[in-house]
Amino acid sequence: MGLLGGFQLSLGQGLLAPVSGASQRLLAFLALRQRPLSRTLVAETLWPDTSDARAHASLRSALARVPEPVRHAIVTTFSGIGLADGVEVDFEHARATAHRLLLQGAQLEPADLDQAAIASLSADLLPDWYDDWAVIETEEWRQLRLHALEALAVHLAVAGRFGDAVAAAVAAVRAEPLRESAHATLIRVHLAEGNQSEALRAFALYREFLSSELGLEPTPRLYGLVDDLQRP
Amino acid sequence: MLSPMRRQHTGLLIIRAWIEQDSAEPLRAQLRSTTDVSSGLEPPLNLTSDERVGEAVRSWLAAVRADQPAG
Repeated sequence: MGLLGGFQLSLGQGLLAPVSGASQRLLAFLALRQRPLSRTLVAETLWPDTSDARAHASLRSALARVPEPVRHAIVTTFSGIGLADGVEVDFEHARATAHRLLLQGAQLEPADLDQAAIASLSADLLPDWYDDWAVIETEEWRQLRLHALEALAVHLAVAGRFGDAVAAAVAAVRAEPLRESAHATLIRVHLAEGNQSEALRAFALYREFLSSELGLEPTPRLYGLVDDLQRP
Repeated sequence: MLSPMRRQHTGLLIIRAWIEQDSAEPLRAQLRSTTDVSSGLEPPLNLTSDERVGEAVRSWLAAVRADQPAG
């Protein structure tokens, strides 16, 4: 199940036909919670603006509309609903990668530093979903991935993989162009590679953007990264 | 006689706020809003003062009120 960059279901190498909006929400909610949930909790969370009876009816309807191959992904009991064992969710992998990158001294896996990790951390969770439960999850993920992308850029630079480090830092900048720490990371990566002109260019672009957007100058801390480079 | 169903809009306002230490104006507030979630969010509005954020919230509430069908 893909939740990053949009909802998507696949089986093996092939994409599955889209399921109804209500079924998508049910599947995504179960995937994000990662454990079986009571029917009442699921119904009241996914259909908060209706009566309990209607919410339960909507849940039954969403379950009934899940098409055959996808139905096996959901385990239902009298009181609970959850995802079946073996259902892989891209967000779970990305979140675990982000936590490892941010944990001091954590043992990183090779996949944590590959381009797929940069791509996963660059993707929004369920973009354009505005349900209450989804908005909170998407904002939490956004914060986590911003920090993780900066950490990933540092890990890659330390490993001497400067091209990928720049890609990770640029992804952090794109995700939040006003966040100074992302620009600082990009400048540091350029400096670590010995690319002073690129560092100055990155600084100049941020300075110009900050000035046009908010009428502000970068902090003295950011100036400090490039001060020596600008002296004749 | 049945009256035609009124479509009810749901507005949404997300404020992301953080502090840039040592900046002349440390507050960064990014507002993403809509008066109707079914039409998606407006482009983000970036602000640095509490007052401007308050004004933007009041302005959004007024727009939500104006966008609702009369009761």
